Amino acid sequence: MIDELDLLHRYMASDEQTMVSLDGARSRLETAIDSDTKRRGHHLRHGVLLGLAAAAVVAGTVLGFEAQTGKGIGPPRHDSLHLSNGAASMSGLLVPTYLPPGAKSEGISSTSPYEIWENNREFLQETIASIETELKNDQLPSAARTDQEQLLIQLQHELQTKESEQSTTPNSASVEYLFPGSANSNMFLYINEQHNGATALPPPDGNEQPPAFGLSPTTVNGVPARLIVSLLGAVPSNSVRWVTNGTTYDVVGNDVSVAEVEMVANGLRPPVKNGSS
Amino acid sequence: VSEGGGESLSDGALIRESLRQPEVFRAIFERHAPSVLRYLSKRVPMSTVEDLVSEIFVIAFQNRHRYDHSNADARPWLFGIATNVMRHHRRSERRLIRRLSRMSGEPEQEDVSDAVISDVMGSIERTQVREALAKLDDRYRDVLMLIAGPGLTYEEISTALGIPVGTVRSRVFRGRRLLRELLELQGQHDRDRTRSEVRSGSEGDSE
Repeated sequence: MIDELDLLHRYMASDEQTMVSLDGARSRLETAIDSDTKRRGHHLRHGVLLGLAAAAVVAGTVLGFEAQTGKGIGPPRHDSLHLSNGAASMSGLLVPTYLPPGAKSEGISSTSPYEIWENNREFLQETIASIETELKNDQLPSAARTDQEQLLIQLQHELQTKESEQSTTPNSASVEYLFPGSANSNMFLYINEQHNGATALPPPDGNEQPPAFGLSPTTVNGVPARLIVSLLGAVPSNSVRWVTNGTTYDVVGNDVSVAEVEMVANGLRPPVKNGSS
Repeated sequence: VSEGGGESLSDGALIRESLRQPEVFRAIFERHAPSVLRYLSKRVPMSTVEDLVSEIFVIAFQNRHRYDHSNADARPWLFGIATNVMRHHRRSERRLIRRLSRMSGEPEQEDVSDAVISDVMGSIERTQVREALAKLDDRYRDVLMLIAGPGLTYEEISTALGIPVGTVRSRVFRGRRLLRELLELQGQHDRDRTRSEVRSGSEGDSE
C-alpha cells in the first residue's frame, strides 16, 4: 500500500536545490524598492511644493498682499500669469483633468486624499517626519542634505503658520491639492472656503463656462471663489490661471490677489508683507 | 520599522508599512524567499528558479497595495503569485518550442510543462515521485505541492489559487488518487523491469 502523501512530503522536504542563491533575486527587489522610493520622492516633492504653494497662498492672504499691488488689485504682472486667456483655453484646462479618476461628481472633497487642509496638514507632518528621518542618514550627499534641510525649515514654518491660523481664524479657508495622472500631467491647486469641515465649492461639471477674463478691479475685489493653479512639470512656474465663478467668496477675510498667484507661479517666494515689494 | 526590526510584525503589518516605507518589504523577502525558492526548485528547471523568485517578489512588491492587510500570513498571496508566474513561464516556453518546432520541421512536444519537470527530474536522481508528478495535470500538481511543500491549508490554497475551498478539496482527492495510481504503475513497471533484468542475467549465466 502506497502512502502517496507521505512520499510527496518527503520529496518536497528533500534538500537538493541549495545551489541556487537568493542574491540575484534580492538584488532585483532592491532595485525595485529603490526605484519606488525615488518615484515616491519625486511625487513627494511635487506634493510638498504644491502643499507649500497652497499654504503660501493662504498665508499670503493673511499677511495681506494688497500692499504689493496697491489695493490688492492689478493686472497680471508676469508672463507666466495668463489671466487674460479666453474661455476656450480655460475649458480645455478644466474639463479633462479636474477630477481624479474615479472621483465622485458630487464633490471633490469626498474622493481625493488631499482635498482638505486637514489632510494637507497631515501630509505635511508626514513629510516633515520623513525628511527628518532622511537627514539622519549619514550617507546622504551634502547637496541633497542642504536641499532637504531648507525644505524642512520651510515646511515647519508653513505648518506652524497654518496651524496657528487654523486655531485663530473661525472661518478659515481650506487649501487642497491633488495629483491627477502622471507626474507630467497638469496639477491643480484649489482654494475653497470651508464651512464646518465641508467644502463649499461645487466641483465643475465639465460644462462650466469660465468668466470672461481680464481681471477687473471688481473681479479682484469681489473675492474669487476658486483659484486654480496649473503647474506643468516639476517646477511650478509654467502657467497660472485664475478662475472665478462669480460667487462672492471670502478667504480668511482677505482677497486672494494677483500677487499671491504670481508667488505660487514663480516658485514659492515667501509672502511679501505690507509695504514691501 | 527599522531594518531587521520587523520580526515581530505580521506579514500584513509589514506590507502595510511598506506602502509608506518601501524598504520594509525586504523583511517579507527575507522571511519567505527561501520557502518560495524551495518550492520552485521542485517545479521548474534550476536554471530558471532564481529568475522566477526574483519576478515573484518584484510583482508582489509592485502590487502590495492590493494586499489585504487583514491577512497576517502572506504565504497564500506569494504562492498564488508563484503559481501564476510559473504558468506564464510555461506558456512562454510552449510558444518558444512551437516556434522552434515549426522552424525545424520537428513535431511539437505535447506538454512542455511535463517535459520541463521531467527534465528537471532528469538532472537529479530520478525517483518514482518525480516521474509520477510529471505526469499529473497542473491542477492536481498545484494543490498537492502547495500542501506538501509550504504546507498551506485548504483555505490558504483557495486564496492562493483563487478557487473555492471545495474545489481545492476535490482536486486534492483526485490528485492523490491519480498520484497513487501512477506510483503503483511505476512500481509495477520497475518490478517487471527488475525481474526481466534478473531473468536475462540468469539466462546469460546458464549459457
